[in-house]
Amino acid sequence: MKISKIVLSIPLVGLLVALGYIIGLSFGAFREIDFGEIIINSIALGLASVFLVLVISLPAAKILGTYEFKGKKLFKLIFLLPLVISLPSISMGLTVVYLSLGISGSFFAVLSIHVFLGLPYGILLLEDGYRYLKPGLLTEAKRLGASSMQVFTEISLPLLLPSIGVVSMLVLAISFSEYLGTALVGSGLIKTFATEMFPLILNGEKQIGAAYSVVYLAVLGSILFIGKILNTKYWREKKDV
Amino acid sequence: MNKKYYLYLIPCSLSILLIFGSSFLYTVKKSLRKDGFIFGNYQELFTKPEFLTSILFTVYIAFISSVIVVLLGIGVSYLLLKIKNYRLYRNLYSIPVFLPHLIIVFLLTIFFANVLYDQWGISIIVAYVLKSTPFVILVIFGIFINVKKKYAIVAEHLGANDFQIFRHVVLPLSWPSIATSFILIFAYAFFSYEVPFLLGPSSPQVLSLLAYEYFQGGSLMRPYSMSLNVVLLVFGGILVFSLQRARDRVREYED
Repeated sequence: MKISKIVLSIPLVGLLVALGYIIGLSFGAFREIDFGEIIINSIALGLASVFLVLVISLPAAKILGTYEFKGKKLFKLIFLLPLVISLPSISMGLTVVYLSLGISGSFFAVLSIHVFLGLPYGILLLEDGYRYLKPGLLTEAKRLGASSMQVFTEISLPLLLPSIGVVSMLVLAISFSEYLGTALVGSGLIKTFATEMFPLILNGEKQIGAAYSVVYLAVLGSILFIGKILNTKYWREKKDV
Repeated sequence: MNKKYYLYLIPCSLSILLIFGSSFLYTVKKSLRKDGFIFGNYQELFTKPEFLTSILFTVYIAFISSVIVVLLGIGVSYLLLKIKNYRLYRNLYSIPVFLPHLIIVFLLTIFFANVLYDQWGISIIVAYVLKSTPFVILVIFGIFINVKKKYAIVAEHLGANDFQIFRHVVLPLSWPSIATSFILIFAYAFFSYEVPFLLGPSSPQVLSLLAYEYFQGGSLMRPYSMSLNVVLLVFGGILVFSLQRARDRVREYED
């Protein structure tokens, strides 16, 4: 058992050392860089993606997780598509399509790619979430006179919150990581951490790259951390009630 | 089933189908020739020597990476099962799931600059393994612990030891989930662009890189890019079916 713990700790310690080294390397490079635009873009894209993915996938996940119906397999197939499709191919085609529509290089164009990538995670995790809600619970509440909205905000939402938390974290991380789609569809105009990191790695800019990495991880990490805290805090309060 | 429930499914399917469909239809249209032989671009693409080596290289990278990731995932999950307070380690391993792949590539270029860009694509494989293993550990361990909780007591009463329980009960019942992870990692490694671009050799190239190179190569080369993209998108479609089948098996096992 002790050996298991030691073996399992090695990769984590390795990661920690690597990150420590990067932080050390980054000192002195911060003054030369203005992170403002990148931070705003990344956060705006990330949060907008999370919001849209949740809004779009919650209703679909509810139906998939609760009912059996004709064509369910086909819908599931569609929802899984972004997980295993060639994203570079999609981005190349979409770039030209958006160009002809005149929306290439816009915030919306990039957002559409990020949401596309995030939707399967929303569907998969929330569908499972809905499946474990006791089916009678929602109908019983309705029978007692609760409106659909009340059922959603008072029963479904609190019980689904852990799944919603995981979906939000994953979608945020995906949005923060996506490079090629962002760069192509955004015509290089929408600058995020990912689009800025790429050329730095390519050109071997170690010190500036390290500074970007530190801020990249700090921003992503703090949003994830805040989300996690809010989620557990909400649960504690619910438990007290 | 009430008809109005289909309304709930429309926003999600429409968002995916609009993005996929518009891109796919455009790509198909541009891949076809207007003169005489409409599949001419495909024929020329398939006879290009770099296309054939590129297929082999891509399959090799994706296959080896996903095998290593899944084996590591099983191995680490097995070790995690042996620890009583596994929660701490599981939570620690869930942190790198959120690590952007460009950061992993950056770390590799900092620490292993002189061994990168090798002919065998080992640096690409290492990057995929580092990126995907934490995710697969979470998935596989989640299944392992569920199966163990359900069946381990029975097996123990029948006189099975820890390893026997793992080998004959936990592993076989987890197989569909392991297959699902394999397909996901395979697809990710097969289609990814950034990692092979930043860490790979200049030749051979993976298919996504080849497609992008043709894409940037002006009006003469672009039809090849479109043909290659159609091939890649169709292959993605095939992967969706296998993913669906694997997931259906997971469901059967759970019930």
